Amino acid sequence: MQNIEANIVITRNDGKLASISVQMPIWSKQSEFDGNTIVKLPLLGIETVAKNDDDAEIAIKEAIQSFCGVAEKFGEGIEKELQSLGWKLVDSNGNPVLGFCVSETDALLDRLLQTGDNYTNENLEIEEELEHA
Amino acid sequence: MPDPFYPSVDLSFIEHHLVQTGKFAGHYIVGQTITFVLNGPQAIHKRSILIRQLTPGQVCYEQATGLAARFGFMGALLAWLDTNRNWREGAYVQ
Repeated sequence: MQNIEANIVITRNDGKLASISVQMPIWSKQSEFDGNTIVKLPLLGIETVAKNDDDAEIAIKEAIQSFCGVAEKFGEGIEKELQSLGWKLVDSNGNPVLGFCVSETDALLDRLLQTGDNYTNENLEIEEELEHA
Repeated sequence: MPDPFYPSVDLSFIEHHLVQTGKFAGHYIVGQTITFVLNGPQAIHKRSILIRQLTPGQVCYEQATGLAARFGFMGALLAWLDTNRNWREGAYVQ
């Protein structure tokens, strides 16, 4: 058996990415170096920076939107790029659902993932062409 | 103790050096976050460089030095900091 530790549901309109619903663990800490907040999203291979806890919420949102936008514009699409990070397609009836799955026998990884803060956003809009240049 | 005196670096300086790698594919902007993308066959997370501007047009010292180390322009960065921020690694310029 596998536990799903994170998931992303992708909604497309006429094949074009519209929004995603996301739930995944993230980690943040204050930098001992300059006092900024370092935010890590290891399931997306991203590290970003924020001024404080409130700004970190915005930074996380921007990081996820960036990943999705970049995957669509420069990569092979969100589904494939997530799979290269270890995510699995868990359901593709209707809208594709990708999950980050951990085997029940991998207790250590399971415990590590539990140490993260759970970030949830049920409707994160991805503006594919609006702001890139 | 956090040190508030580390200087920030102009985004345009960082971008100039990333473009010079010759692998530059483009960039993608969301709010204060700009992601530079390199060409290549690898998965997108291996060729994305995410920068968040805490002040518009500025990259914090920690991110700037990380990129300089990765893309081999540390010498140019330290010279830029000396010229533009009157700052040297290890000591403040008199």
